[in-house]
Amino acid sequence: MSELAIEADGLSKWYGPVLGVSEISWSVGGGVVGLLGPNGAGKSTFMKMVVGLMRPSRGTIKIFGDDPFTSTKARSRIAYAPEHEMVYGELLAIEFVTSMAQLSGVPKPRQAAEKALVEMGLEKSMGRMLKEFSKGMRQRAKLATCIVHNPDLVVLDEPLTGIDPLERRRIVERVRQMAKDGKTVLISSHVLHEVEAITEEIMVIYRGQVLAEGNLRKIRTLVDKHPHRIRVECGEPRGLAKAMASAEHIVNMEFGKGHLIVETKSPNLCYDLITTTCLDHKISLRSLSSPDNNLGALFDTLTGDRA
Amino acid sequence: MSQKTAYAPSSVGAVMAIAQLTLTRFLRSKVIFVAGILAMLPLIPLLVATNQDTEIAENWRGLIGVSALVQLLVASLLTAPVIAEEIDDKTYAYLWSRPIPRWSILAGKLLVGSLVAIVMIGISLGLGSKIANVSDVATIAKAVGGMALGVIATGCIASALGTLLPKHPLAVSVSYFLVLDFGIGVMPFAAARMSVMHNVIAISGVGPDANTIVTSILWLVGLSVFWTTITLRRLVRKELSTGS
Repeated sequence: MSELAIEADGLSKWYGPVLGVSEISWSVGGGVVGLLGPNGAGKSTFMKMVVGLMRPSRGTIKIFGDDPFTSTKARSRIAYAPEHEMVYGELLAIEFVTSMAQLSGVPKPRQAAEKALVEMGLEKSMGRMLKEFSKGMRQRAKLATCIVHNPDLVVLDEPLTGIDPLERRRIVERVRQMAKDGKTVLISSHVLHEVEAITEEIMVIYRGQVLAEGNLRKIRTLVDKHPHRIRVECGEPRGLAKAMASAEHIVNMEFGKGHLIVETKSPNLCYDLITTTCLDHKISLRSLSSPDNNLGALFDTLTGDRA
Repeated sequence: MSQKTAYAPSSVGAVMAIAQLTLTRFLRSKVIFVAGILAMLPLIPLLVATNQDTEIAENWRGLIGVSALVQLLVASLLTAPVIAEEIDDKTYAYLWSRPIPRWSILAGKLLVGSLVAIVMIGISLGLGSKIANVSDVATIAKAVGGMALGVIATGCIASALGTLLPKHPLAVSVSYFLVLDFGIGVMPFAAARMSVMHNVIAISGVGPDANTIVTSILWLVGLSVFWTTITLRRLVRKELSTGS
């Protein structure tokens, strides 16, 4: 009989009177699953119960058949990269990953840590302190701690938030590699196209409830009706807007202090256009992020329809 | 899915891994310097006293009294925030999600915090004995032993307070020791036995209860066990939900 990586049955969590997650019954046996939902939907709460940081108020969660809150056996098969970028800044990258390997009982922790950091493309930075790392490099260091003990289930909470396109591409490649290596990966995001770049299997969570699950294409058509928003922080927002104005997939642009918000029907094309335009016109690009109100609007529409 | 052998450290391995991580972080933090300076503070009044030609025994009593108070502060500084700072910095997720028993996190952190504090207080007492011209090995050994037990008891209490009230662990711990522990310790009643400082002074061979060392040792062990039990109960049940 095949073993289920995650098995949630009637899973609910309250923070006092506030509902975190409600009556989730869901299971996954393998592959990459995207956990999609707007900020505050309950994704992090669900993930924290999966990795044993929190216990359900009601219902059960089993990881490979065991309760992750109490069972070290279950946690020995899990890796978790939290949403925040807090790390032990005073440690070298190699020390951080080695410590995590030791805490997972890896036989040769230093060698395993070096291998994991090389796999994450940090071979030249493993002797640097983590506080000197960029956000993307910290994310990759966190991913190194996730593969150092060769777990069966990798849980990644918003690993692509707030990082530049190059780092984004690197991390996406690494997550795909994890899946190729046979790991079950649960990855959360509030941005649809981020998840789309990694997997087609999704679970949509909103206000603590599962709204949809299965193949991404089912909701893709619904989402396409709502333009995707990209916030671009750059040196010359007006110059960038002028250079991109003729692109057909862009439906609207708004200016702010030092930034530009672009609404597009095709996020992937738009991200490429922004980076190439900045390069061509020598405009300094500070960051790209997705406020992504379109998902929230979509979810509101869907739940409104239900009600 | 293919099933493979999952790794998990032994309990001792987990404690040692936490201890190593904690020590590395200590050695790169300012806390270690502040604790070191604090530990040497008892030497200042001792130097002043020796220059005024006071008696050796009186100087030694003074050194023990000030050291007993200072060890409370040094041990608090090194142990009170050990759990609270993980929660406050949100780094708890890296430790709590690993396949280790939760008590091992506390044990590893207390081990390092206490050892560092004992070494610092020990060095301070060693220097103090030279300055005070005390050469009797048994006298020095009693003082070092008393301080070491005091550091461990202080660490257990401070880490418990830090875990129960994680917003301001150091402030809560220092307040507890300077107000409650010190206040109870100077009382002329049996209740003084509940004070870490009082028992440390007694084990060190000075003070009114110097002839009941075993009782003082038992009190310190009892206080340590009581507070550690509270911490462990809290830690095992604690859910970590900081963040969204």
